[in-house]
Amino acid sequence: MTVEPSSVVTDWSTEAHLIYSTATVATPTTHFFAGVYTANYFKGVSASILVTNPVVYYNHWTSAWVGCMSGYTWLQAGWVKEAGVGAKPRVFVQFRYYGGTPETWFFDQYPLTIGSYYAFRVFYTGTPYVWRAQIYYNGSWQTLRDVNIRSFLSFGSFSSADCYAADETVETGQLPRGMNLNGSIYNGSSWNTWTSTYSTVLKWDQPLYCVVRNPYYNIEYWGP
Amino acid sequence: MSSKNFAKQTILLGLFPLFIVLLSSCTSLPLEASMTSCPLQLAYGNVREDLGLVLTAKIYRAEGRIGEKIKCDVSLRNIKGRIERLSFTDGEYFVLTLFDQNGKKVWSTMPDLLIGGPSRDMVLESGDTIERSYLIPLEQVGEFQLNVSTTAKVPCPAGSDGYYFTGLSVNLTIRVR
Repeated sequence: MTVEPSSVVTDWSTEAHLIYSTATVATPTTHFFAGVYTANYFKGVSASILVTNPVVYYNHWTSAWVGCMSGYTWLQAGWVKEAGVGAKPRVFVQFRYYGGTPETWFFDQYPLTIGSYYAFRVFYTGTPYVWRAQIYYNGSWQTLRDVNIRSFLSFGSFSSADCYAADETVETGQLPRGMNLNGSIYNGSSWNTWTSTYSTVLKWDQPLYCVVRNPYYNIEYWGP
Repeated sequence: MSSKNFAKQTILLGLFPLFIVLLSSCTSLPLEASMTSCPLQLAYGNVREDLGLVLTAKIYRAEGRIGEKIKCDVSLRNIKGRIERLSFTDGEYFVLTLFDQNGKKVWSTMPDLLIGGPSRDMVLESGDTIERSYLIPLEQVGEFQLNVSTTAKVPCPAGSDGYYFTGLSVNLTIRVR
């Protein structure tokens, strides 16, 4: 039941009859996330990701990616599928500086085969301020995008970040269920297998769910 | 007509203009609008009794012209302290979205394809409120539905690391001339 007061109700605690109701329109309101991230800062992350072809509804999207985040600033790479006739999973990179408009790039020159795994990685290059997103394609790492964060002054010290590997969807779309996180973490000089020796946070939003199946953070997902 | 009925009719006829004036002033709309169509709502509230969370949205005008902006105040209040730890998507506490009559999104505070990461935790203690103000741009003529929602998620019961979406959302109608 939706309650429709004609003015602002100031004492809500007396409105015991009010109950939860859902919106009647498609609202791209929130993200449903399932994945893992490091509890400490590192300088890069890599994982192989299965490409699937989930159902995606109007105004929605679904994605599987790896990325590095510091606060609400992030660089991530993976695949995303948006709604629309003929839509298919596409390689993408997204960068957002907190409060800013996200910049998203698509790379249709790297077509994806549904049912195949592709490795993605995001890492600090060692060149001051420069982070890089890559895909492993045709036998070698291909650079998708370098992001120089020098212009973001308050972000200038960003040389390490939380590292993520996740499947994500918006609203009623299906979870990709595509992650196969035999992943690696970059410490600035070498890539090391992401195992339970690294303090890791596992997080999901219902109705999505994921569990870690082994010490290598090979995670399994469930979703609608 | 008896004198008793005459007195009744006189009172009713006398009250009718007063009622119209009151109706007009309460809705802040032109008198014609109040008389010829359903009054537009200026504020909505919605509550999750089980969580003790209340979402309200208030617009200062429900009608405007192209090029104008309508202010909208949004708040999320913890009224009962049943839950303190909330989780929000990428720093966005609220999302305002304007839909046309066909359900097509014409404007939103949430950027398209904002992938980001998991929601982030924060504490909202009992009695505390998160408040934000927004300006809604009016760019097309017509009637629109303003959907105001919170990205708030709450932790699943103890022993689980999962979260679930509160689903708190309200709708208001805006007309653009």
